[in-house]
Order: sequence, then C-alpha cells, then structure tokens
Amino acid sequence: MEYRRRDFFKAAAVLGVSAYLAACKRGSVARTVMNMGLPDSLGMSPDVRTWARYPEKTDLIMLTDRPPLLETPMHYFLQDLTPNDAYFVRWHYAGLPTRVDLRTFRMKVVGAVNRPLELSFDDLRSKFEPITMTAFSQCAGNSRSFFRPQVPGAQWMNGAMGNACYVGARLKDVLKAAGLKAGAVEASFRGLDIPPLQASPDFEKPLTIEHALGGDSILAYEMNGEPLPMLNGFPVRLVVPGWFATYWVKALSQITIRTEPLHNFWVDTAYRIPTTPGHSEDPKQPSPETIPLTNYPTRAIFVTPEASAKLNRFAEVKIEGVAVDDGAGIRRVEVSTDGGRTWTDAALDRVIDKYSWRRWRMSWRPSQIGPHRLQCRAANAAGEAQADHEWNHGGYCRRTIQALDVEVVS
Amino acid sequence: MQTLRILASLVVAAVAILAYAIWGRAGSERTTATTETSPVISASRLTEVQPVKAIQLEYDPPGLPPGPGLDLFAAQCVVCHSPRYVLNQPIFPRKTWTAEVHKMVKAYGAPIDPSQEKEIVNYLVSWHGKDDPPAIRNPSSK
Repeated sequence: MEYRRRDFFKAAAVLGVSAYLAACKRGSVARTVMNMGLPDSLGMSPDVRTWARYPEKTDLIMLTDRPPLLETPMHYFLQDLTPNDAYFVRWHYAGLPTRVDLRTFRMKVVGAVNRPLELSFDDLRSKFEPITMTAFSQCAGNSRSFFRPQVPGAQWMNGAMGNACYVGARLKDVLKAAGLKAGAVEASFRGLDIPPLQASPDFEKPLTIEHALGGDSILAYEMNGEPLPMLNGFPVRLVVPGWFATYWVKALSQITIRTEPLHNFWVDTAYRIPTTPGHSEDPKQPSPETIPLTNYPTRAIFVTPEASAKLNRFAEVKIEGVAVDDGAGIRRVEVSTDGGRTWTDAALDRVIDKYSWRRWRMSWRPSQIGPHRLQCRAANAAGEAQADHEWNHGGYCRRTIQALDVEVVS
Repeated sequence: MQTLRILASLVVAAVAILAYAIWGRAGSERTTATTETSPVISASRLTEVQPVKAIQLEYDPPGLPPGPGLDLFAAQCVVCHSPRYVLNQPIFPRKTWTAEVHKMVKAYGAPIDPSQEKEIVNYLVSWHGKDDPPAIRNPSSK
C-alpha cells in the first residue's frame, strides 16, 4: 500500500516536471513542481507540496488545480499588504469566470426593492462615494490541516489569508439607491461562477438586512491600487470586513433582497460551526446544534520563523507575526519560547486600519541547543483571547494558540 | 570642576530619560511604517481599466493510479473537479470517504447510483485511504 502510493507520487512528480517543461514551452500557466523531501516542505502536514502559477498570479502553493485552490507562502505576510499576485485563491466551482467584458457586465440589485438596479462597473465607481479600506480576509477553513483528528476539506496551512487595501462603494449606499421594500430580511449575493451540474447549488450567501445596512461592507472594484485579479473576483467583490471570506462573494453579479431567509447548501449545511462554548465539539460526539460561521475569532499567527526552522544559538532571531480579530482591535500579543511556561509581550506595530490585521514582532536570542516550541497568543479590545484546544467537524474558524516547533543548533 | 562633572552627568541622564520617554516607550506601540519590509501600495481611484479582462486557465491534473473504479472515478468525479481534491486530503478511513462521496450526490447532485458510490469509495480507499478501524473500540484510548 505504502509502496504503491510512493510509486504513484514518483510518477506524479515526473508528470509534474514534464508539465512544467511543457508549460515553459508554451509560456503559459500550469507550472508545477513537486518538491518531495525538500526542506521547504518540512513540518507541513502534506508530505507533498505542489506549486503552480496561474494567470495574474505568482508561484503559489497549489492545493488543487480545478477549481484552483492556491495558498500564499508565509513570507508574503512580512508586508502590511499582501500583493495581488500572491493573494490566496479559493473557488468552489470550476465554472469560474475567465472573461469579463465591462461594457456588458452589470451588477443587478433585484427582489424586494422599489427600483431594481443594473449597475455597470463605471456606475459603481462614479455614482457612489468611493470608500478606501484596508481589510483582512481569511478562508473559513484556513489552518484546517492543523486540526486533530484531521477533517475533510481543503487542507490549508496558515496561508489562506491576506490583507489588502480596497476601494469600493458602500453596500448600504447601493441598497439605498435601490430602495428596500418593507419586509426585507436578507440581502443575498451571487457571483458569475457557474455550478458544474444542473443539480448543484448556486454559490449564494446571505447577510441579514441589518448587517447589510448597518455594517461596513463595500462592493470593492479596486484591490491594492489595481483592478482585482480575475481569480480574486474581478470586477467587483463584496468585502465584508471582519467576517470570513466565504461572505466575500467574488465577481459579484447579483444582490437579491429577500423577504424570506435564503436556504441552500451553503447556508444550511456548509460553513457551520457548533453552538457549544468556544464552538468546539467532541470528535466522538459532534454537537447536533450548529450555526453559520460569521466573524473572525481573535488569533495570532507566526510569519517568521517558519516551522522546522534551524536557528543559531546566541544569534538574534526576529520573530514576526500577524494578529487578527473582527475589528474590535488587537490589544496584546504574547509569545512563549519555552512551550507555554513563560510569556513575553510582543511589540505591536501601528494600527493599519480597523479591519486590517495588526503586525507584531519580538526579538529572541536562544541560549539552549535543541528543539524549542514557540507559541503566540493574542487578545483583543473586547477581551477575547485564544483557546488552548478546540475541534469542530468542519475544521473552521481556527483559534487555537499556535505552536511552532523550531530547532536551535550551535 | 567636580561640580561641573556632576552637572554634566545630570544633564546626560536627563536627556537619556527624556529620549526614553519619547522614543523607547512609544516604541512598542509606534508605527513601523518605516520598516524596510513594508512597501506602501497606493490605492488609486484613477486606475485605467481595460474593458475586457480574459484569462486562460490550463489545468494540471495528476495521473491516476490504475485499479478497479478508475474509469468510474474519471467519469463521475473528475467531470466536476480535479483528482487533486482527493490527493490534497489526508489518508482517510473508508467511513470518511463514504461520507465524502455521498456528499457529492446529496449536496451537489452528482448522478451516481449507490452501487457506483461503493465502487468509487473502494477505488479511493485503494490508493488514498485505509480501512476503518475495528468496531470494538478501546474506551481508554483517546
């Protein structure tokens, strides 16, 4: 069994290399290298990491090729803003948009409205006050691969996240322009992606009308000073700051104002967490009660060093990371270099924006040779701290204190 | 002379304390916008946007190990998604693969009948799964 798998991977590696060569010849996208056993893959849960370069993207860690699930390598998080070409990619369906003509593209507002709208890209840019906002986004399943026992789903490490500066129109301004009818309870959002089968559910996510009208959501048409990459939702993406990226509908094409709540697979079955305290459940007895996941839990993540790094004794180690929450504001990050026995406050960088991540750093001079477990934990202005242990069946909303094993050598 | 020396050191100490008050304390909260690793990407509303954006996706599916069920898997599963959806998963037990395949039918409407479901599960278990642990569990094990 084990041998057969190895052989298969070897074969796959050969295929990968030949695909790479073929791609070089064509000067096109599917650049793939299997890096088995290279130091870069040490300490990562999958024993194979594949890299790929997609249109408008740099080399990213490829979880799957169709539809593409691409993860950002950690070193990009050493910057305040994550470059567009390195920003993670996650589509549910292979029928994602690959061509958009702005001359015909219209974003519709339909349903329980007085004036149904069909807004062009230029309408969105010119008829509504542009709002600039730096916001953090994160896949609901970011860091899923670290749950034990392991759960099915995209096996992300910590790179299904990013921080970007968006410009867009306020959602509430667009809804007001349409004029909501009495009895509206939800606004739901759909993009240009098409399900593969007639029977497959359209990817559509709702916000309550209170959240849509009262929150800070924008319809973003610009990301880090440029139009959005196609794979990140060109031409317009819903930005729901502080909430998981499953709500940030890409290539937004239709907003439906509903007088009855939307029920579909994405609302009723997927992207749900247990109602139990800390949203954690026993793997042997999963909680029968679940609710849709919404906002980001408070959390600190190491950016450098990376797992399994070899550090030199007595040499200064610059520990850096990011801390995120739902917008209340990160107030404290602590780091332990001795497996959680003692904790030291990290220095917090300036606040970038309300819904941005906050960067933090600390200097460490290891004096003992051998394995060290680094840990980091954050607390926010609402007093929310992190969990020592958690598990949920979907592998969502990870908020466990991160442990990072490094090796100090002479 | 002695007095001058004391006075000088007092002045030095005062400057040091003042410097700490201004720089050092603020240091922990201070902006690091000046860090070399943080280039500012300016957001501009004046971006010229081409009227048509088009990309061409080329996929890179992995090879599939031979075995009973390969054809069915290729026809019924790969029609919607890459086999990497399997490769990216841990080596799950049969029970998990059974649930996953059934989810494709129930949630996504894949037209797979129950006997085909079984064949697909067998195929997945043959190269990326394992059989379920025995039903009798040791209650002391975690």
